Amino acid sequence: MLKKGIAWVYTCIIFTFLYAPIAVLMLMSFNESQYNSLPFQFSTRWYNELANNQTLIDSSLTSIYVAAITALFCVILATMLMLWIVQTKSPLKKWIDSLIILPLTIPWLILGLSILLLLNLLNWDKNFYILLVGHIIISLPYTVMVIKARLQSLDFSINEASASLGANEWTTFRKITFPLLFPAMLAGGFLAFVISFDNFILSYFLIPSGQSTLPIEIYSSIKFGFTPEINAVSTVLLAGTTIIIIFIVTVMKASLKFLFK
Amino acid sequence: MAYLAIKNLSKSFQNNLVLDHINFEIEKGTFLSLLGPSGCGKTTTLRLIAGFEHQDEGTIHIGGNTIDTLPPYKRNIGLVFQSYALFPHMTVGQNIAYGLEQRNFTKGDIKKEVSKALEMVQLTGFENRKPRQLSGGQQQRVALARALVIKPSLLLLDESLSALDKKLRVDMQIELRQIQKEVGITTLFVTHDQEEAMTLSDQIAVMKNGKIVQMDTPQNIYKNPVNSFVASFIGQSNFLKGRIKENSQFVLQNGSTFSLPQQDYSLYNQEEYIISVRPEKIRVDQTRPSYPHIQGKVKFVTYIGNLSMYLIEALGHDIRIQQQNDSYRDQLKVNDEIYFSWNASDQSILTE
Repeated sequence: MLKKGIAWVYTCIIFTFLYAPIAVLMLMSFNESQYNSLPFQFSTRWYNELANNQTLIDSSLTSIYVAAITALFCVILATMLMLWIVQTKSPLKKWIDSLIILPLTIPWLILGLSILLLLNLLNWDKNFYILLVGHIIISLPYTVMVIKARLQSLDFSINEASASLGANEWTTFRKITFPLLFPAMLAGGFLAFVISFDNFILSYFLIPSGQSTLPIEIYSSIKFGFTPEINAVSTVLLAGTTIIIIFIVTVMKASLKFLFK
Repeated sequence: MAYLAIKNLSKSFQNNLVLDHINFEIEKGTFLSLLGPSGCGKTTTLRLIAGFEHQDEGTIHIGGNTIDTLPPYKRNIGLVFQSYALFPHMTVGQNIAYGLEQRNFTKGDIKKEVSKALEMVQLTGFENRKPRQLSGGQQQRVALARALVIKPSLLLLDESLSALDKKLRVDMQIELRQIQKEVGITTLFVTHDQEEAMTLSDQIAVMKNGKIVQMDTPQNIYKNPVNSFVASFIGQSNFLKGRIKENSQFVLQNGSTFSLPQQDYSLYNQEEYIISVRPEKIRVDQTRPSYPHIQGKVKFVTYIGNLSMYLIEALGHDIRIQQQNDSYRDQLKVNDEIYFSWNASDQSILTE
């Protein structure tokens, strides 16, 4: 009984620690006060101001745009690479397999700095594509891990079965591999999206002047005086992400049920 | 040329020769088992025929045409995998229809063919189930139906029954053989299970280290193995290694001597030979007989029900003898002194 009680207290402490700050942020976005101070007075003022704050909206859109392209590239790259890796006997396999995961261990700070140095050396200007490349490098390992795990759980002989029944490689991918891999592609893409969306350090190094992403915008607005608009935009994004997660989980559950009922 | 002809087929993986210039031919409708321990090259042979690997040397002919340059999806070969490899996201009906769709059958024809195939494997009414909802034996049947419905020119079975439990396996063996005969399809069955190979096959090719050691009917392989590997791989056997002297005397490596059964041994020289005798071919007497015999003592008895296995100590060797437990014979007991012998026609004299 006592043990159960202690476990409960622990759980509560941990969850409070995890979610209380977020709850406070969401609450404060509906607070009238300019300085996040109490007493609480309900208001949608900051959401109205947000709607008029073009900088914040623009940087949010840039972030979503970068994250979406990153996710798309990561899914395509990871799927192609892993499909090749699981069936190849090439000696390169071992190297590519580890090189692709390696960025996980490189601090983003160092990665950002080194890309910047390289640009300097080549005498190139910072541009949007370089930013994208950076984001893809850091997000790809996550997508790869999710897709690889799924591929390894599949019986590779189903591809051979498909071939023996008369289907060429493309048909086999379309009718067998893709449907079975789809839930993992979705999950891997979402992970890449979140990693990219969240990233501050790399974007800070690589963003072309005159543009900014949401994390950069939030960072600089804290420096120059915080307004609860930041609370509002964060709440909007949290709500957006939650809806996406619910959507993805539903789709994955449905497709898994469809596969394995 | 025979229906399926394999000529000089070789394959290496990373400088490791796994298939060493094998040759064989079988006629249409034959059920051939490739039998051997793991790593003997049997699965590689199958994968080369299916087109999943490409040979370094040699050719494969089916019905007089070579298929060497065709990709797997153009070979029209039916395959049943050890894991069945059913498509998990498709129903039983869709699994079976898959090969027909690739061949551009009309919807109506597909429906007809699928229900015919399901009837053949006794799974009518299972069209809309998912593979996960089927037992191992049923999945096996779906895999067989899926492979046969495309009317392949050859059926390849890769250890296809190994995943089933023993009783189901025996049932499936009989069913598989019946269907194979009905359809009349030339079949290549890869297995390490000698009993399965014996039960199913018209012909068995025993393989070892990338070579075919012996290829013949099950009866001939059992009766006349070419060497001790085949004799011990197919069934059990006693091996006595030594030299044949005059007067049909056989001198074992440990020096003990006995008389071989009456036969002309003049063909054999002074080299070492291995005498191979099956446990069930040995005759036991409890009184000393007049014909050539060996004396021994019962060391161990294993009772199997209809049979008993005896381990006999004789000539410094352990000899296995198997006897029917019928009403004409008393069971032997440990420490019984016995006299045993065999007919010349039941012994194989091997060189290796």
